[in-house]
Order: sequence, then structure tokens, then C-alpha cells
Amino acid sequence: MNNSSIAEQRQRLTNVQSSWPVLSRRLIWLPLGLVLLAVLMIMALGVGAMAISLFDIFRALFGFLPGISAVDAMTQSVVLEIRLPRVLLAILVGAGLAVSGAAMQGLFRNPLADPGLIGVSAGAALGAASWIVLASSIGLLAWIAEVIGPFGGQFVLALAAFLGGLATTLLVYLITLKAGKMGATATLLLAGIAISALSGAATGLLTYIADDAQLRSITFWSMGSLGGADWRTLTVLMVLVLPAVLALWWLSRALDALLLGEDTAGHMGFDLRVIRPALILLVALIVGSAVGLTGMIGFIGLMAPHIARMMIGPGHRMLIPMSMIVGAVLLLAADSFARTVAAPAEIPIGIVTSLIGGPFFLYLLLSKFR
Amino acid sequence: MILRSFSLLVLLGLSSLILPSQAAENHPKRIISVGGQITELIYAMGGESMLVGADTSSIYPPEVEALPKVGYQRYLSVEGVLSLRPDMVIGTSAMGPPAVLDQLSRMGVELVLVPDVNDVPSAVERIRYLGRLLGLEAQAERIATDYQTQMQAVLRPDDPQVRHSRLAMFLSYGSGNAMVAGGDTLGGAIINMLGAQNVFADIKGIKAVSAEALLAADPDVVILSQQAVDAFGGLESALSAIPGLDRTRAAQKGQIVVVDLLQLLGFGPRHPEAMQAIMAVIDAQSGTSLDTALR
Repeated sequence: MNNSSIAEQRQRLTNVQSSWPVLSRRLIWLPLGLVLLAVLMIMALGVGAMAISLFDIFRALFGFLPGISAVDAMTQSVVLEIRLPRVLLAILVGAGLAVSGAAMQGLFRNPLADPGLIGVSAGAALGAASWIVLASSIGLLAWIAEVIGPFGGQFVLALAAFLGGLATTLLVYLITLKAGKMGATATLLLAGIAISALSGAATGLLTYIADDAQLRSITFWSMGSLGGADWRTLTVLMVLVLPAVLALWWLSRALDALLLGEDTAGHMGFDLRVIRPALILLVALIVGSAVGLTGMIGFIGLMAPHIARMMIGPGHRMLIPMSMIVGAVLLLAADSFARTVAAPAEIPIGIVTSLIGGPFFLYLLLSKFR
Repeated sequence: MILRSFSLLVLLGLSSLILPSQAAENHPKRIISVGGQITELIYAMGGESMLVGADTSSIYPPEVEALPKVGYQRYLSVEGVLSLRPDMVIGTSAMGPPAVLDQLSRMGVELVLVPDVNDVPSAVERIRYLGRLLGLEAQAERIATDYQTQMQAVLRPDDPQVRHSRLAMFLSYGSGNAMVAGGDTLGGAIINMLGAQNVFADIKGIKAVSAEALLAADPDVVILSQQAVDAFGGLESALSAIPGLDRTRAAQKGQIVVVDLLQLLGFGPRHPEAMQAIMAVIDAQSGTSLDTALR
């Protein structure tokens, strides 16, 4: 009996080894995903409220090359100043949120985890709401506008959201350190939920004291938008997000080890006292800056890594780049839909991602706990 | 308030703004109007041929339905606006988001912020301002004069009957509590213009009030929005949706006015008529609080 079960296990192990070609076959998803993303990019550049032919878009993009006649100035700036930065912003934010989701699902060993669990989203919302309500009440906005120049306000709004997200995450982490007796990840989860609820209450209070204009600003901020995308926002976000994404990728072996359990990861030489805060900080950095600049965009961080895992398996070295591609594809598709379906008006992106994400989340729940 | 309007001006980039004094020079040919009150005024002046688009709050006159809609005024889309090839976008301080306005002005679209309005002189000034902006001074002057004359005929702010009337304005309500117009809102400004008392003057903004607070305030006259009444499918159900209202003096004496919100808060040609409707109910009060006050 015992012997046969050992033999079975051996057999299973051999099966695992012989499934290596299967893994490499799965890797085809990476280039496939990149091709899909590239096609989607061209499509996204091609659609919009203004009717611009693909040929004109090509001319606008490559007008600097010799032998290509320039398009009119309006088309040129719509393509280069409005659509291209927006498409790139969607890709960057989608990829960033997806990687953060993958890291959180790895840390919590739960496919239902999303980057908001550590309090960063609720904190960012609180930061944004505080800025919208309090700063304009005490005349800070006018001062900022004078010092930084017109439209400095929206950058400071992004900064406020970013700092709010970082501060709540830090608070969550400090609580976890203080109450370190329980399994630290469980404490982290509970502290994250509690601090998120508290931030939500504070945001609610600010919403209550806000005047009508501030209230609507908060509402629309929380629905998210990639509408203000320009090269400045893109540069700021790139500087913050890209290094953090690379760092998370660099931590993939630690994330893999975490899949086997925290103790095992510890035995394998990964010091969780370092890995855990590093993961949290990187996620807070990515999500905080993305949410700060674009407002709340839900469900990408939950959906993308899950879809990527179905395609390419749970190993983080491949899962993280695949999640990035899936996240970018999802957000780019959602945003292209949001800005064209009701043109010349546009619908908030957060509504579109939640419309796709809500049913997907339910599907996850039902298939997991059946 | 002045400080905030100023900061908004600064925020919007002074270079792209047209100040009233400069407005007369070159008149726009393709306008997008963002704000129901502004659209209504442009139609009243006969400037509709210049309109190439409007926002979703522009619902009057009915012909405005034929115009392309650029969406909600706080959620404009850069490319959506540009696709209508406007040379000017006229809106209020409610227009946004700021990042989109920034991009629009950098793309060469002139953004005009029409000053906010909260009484007869500022409403008249706004009508004249729009007239200068569009080169329709004569039509604007006629509308402004009519507005002024009609408002003078309707309003009796010093009448003791009016001054002792205690009003409450319900703007919108969904489930549970009703939302009332506080002292610093446009609805509050309307009650000030009438010369009556706003029972919720101490409230800031548009807030929900409980049944108990409504009973304690006990207004003589209640103003409801036509939009809310329509949403509830009739006055009866709209009234019963406000907890506590049925026990107030206003409800028991049937002193309830239903007005169209855009008409009442639009400060346009249809404004005096809406004010007249409220005045009629104030005048018709039976056993008014004036008696109580004099006793």
C-alpha cells in the first residue's frame, strides 16, 4: 500500500518533469500577447471621436521621416498629443496594476487578492479627497497655481493621492509589525481591511462636508479617467512605475517560494522580514502613482494576473511579464471603448473596467468555492 | 468665494481666457455650450446657428436635442470636443476635468468661463456678457431689460408676508432622506432673492435632512423640482418619498410649488415665470405665519 503510493508519487514527479515541453508550449502566450497588444495599439490609435484614417495616423507618427508627406497640424496634434500619450498611459497603468495584483496574489497566496488589500487605494482616495476639499477651502489652490503655474493643481492632486496611498500602506505595515504574533500575512490582510475601512469613513466625512463642486470632483476622480493623458503625466508615471515593476520582476523567485508557504520560503533563504515590506512598498508605489494620476480603476489588478496564470502557469518569472501584457491589453481595450462608444462624450473608465470585472470576480468566486 | 473664482481663473490659464472687455473683437463661429443655462440664453438671443455642440445638461429648448452632446460638463473628452471643430467652448466654473481643459486650450480652443450668477444684477450682467461675446448685443439687451422688468414686477422682497414666509427647497432625493438646498447654494440664493427665509439657511451645500429636522424646521412653503416629481411618477408619490414632509405646515395646507430646475436656477428668460409660481403660493398662504408673527 505504502510502496504503491510512493511509486504513484514517483510517477507523478516524472509526469511533472515530462510536462516541461508543455510549459514551453505555454510560453507561446508571451509573443502572442505582445502581438495582440501591438494590434490593439494600432486599433486604439485609429479610433476616436475624430475620424482619422490609418494612413493619416501613420503619416502623423512617421512624418519626421523623409519621403512621408506631413498631415495637417490638427490631425498631427490629435495623434501625437492626445491619442498616443493616452494609449501609452493605458498600457503603462494597465501593466502596473496587473503586476501589483500578481505580487499581492503571490504574497497572500490567494487569487482573489488585489492591490487594494494593503490599503493603498483607499488611502489614495482619502488623499485626493482631502486635497480637493481642504486645500481649496483654505486657498492653497490659488497659492499652488501661482507658485507652480497654471494646472499645478492637478499634479498636486496626484501627489496628494500618491502620498495618501503610501501613508496608509505604511500605517498598515507598522500595525502588522506591532501585532506580529499572528501569522504576519493574516495580520497584514486584517490591518489592510481595517485601515481601508477607516480611510473610507474619513473620505465619506470629507464628501459630506464638501460643497457641490468639490463633491462632483471627488465623484469623478473616484470613477477614474485617462482623459488628461499627456507627455508630462506619462513621463512622471514612467519614472515612478518602471523601476518598481522591474524590481517586482526581480523578486519573482521569492514570490515563487512564497507559493509553497511562508515557512518554506523562509527555509529556502528568503527573509520575509525584508521581502514582505519590499513587496508592499513597490506595490504602493505603483498603485499609488497610477491611481493618483488616473483616479480609481478597479479590477485590472485582480483580473489580469488571474488570466495570465491560466495562460502561462503560476511561475512568477513568466507570470509577471504575462500579467503586464494582459493588464495592458485589458485597460487599453476598456479605454478605447470608453472614449469611443458615446463619442463625442466619454464614459468613465472605472465604470467600464468594473462592468467587465464584476462578473469576472463572481465567476472566480463561484468556480473557486464550488 | 472671490478667492476661489480667482484661483479658477488662474488655473484655467489666463492666456486662454477672454475677459469681457476684449470679448467684442472677434466673434466665434463654432461654439460648444457647456451648461444648460448658457445654452438656453444662446437660443434666446438667436445665436443657435453658431452652436455645434452642447453638454448633457442642455435640455432646453427642445431643439437642442438635435445638437451633438459632448457629455457631462465635468467629464469632457478632449477629442470629443475637438471632433466638433469648435473655435470656442463656453462654460461655467463647473466645466472640467482641469487636465482636459488644459489640453483643449493648448490645442488652440478658446475657453470662456461665464461668471457665476446669484441675483438679478449678476444675471443681467451675464446676459449682456454673452451678448458681447457672440456679437448679439441688441438681442441680449432686450432679454436683459425684459428680465429686469419682469423680475421687478414679480419680486417684493420688502413685503412682510414674503419676509415672514419660511421656505424649504428640495433639489433631489432618492432613497431615505431628502436633499435640501442650504444657505450657500443656488437654491438658497433664489430664496434670498424672493426675500423669504430659508429654513435650512444654516446648512452648507446640498444636504440630506432627517424627518425630525424637517419637522423641527416646519416650512410654510416647500419647493420641489419638476425633475424629482417626474422621477417619482407624480406629486403624491414624490411627497410621500420625503420622510416627515406630510406633517409640515406646507404639506398640510397644500403650499407646495413644483418648478422646473433649469427654469428656476437658469436665471434666463423663463426665470421670472418660475419665481412668479413661488410668489403665488407665498401670497396664497392661508393662516400664514405672518399672523403668528403679528400675534
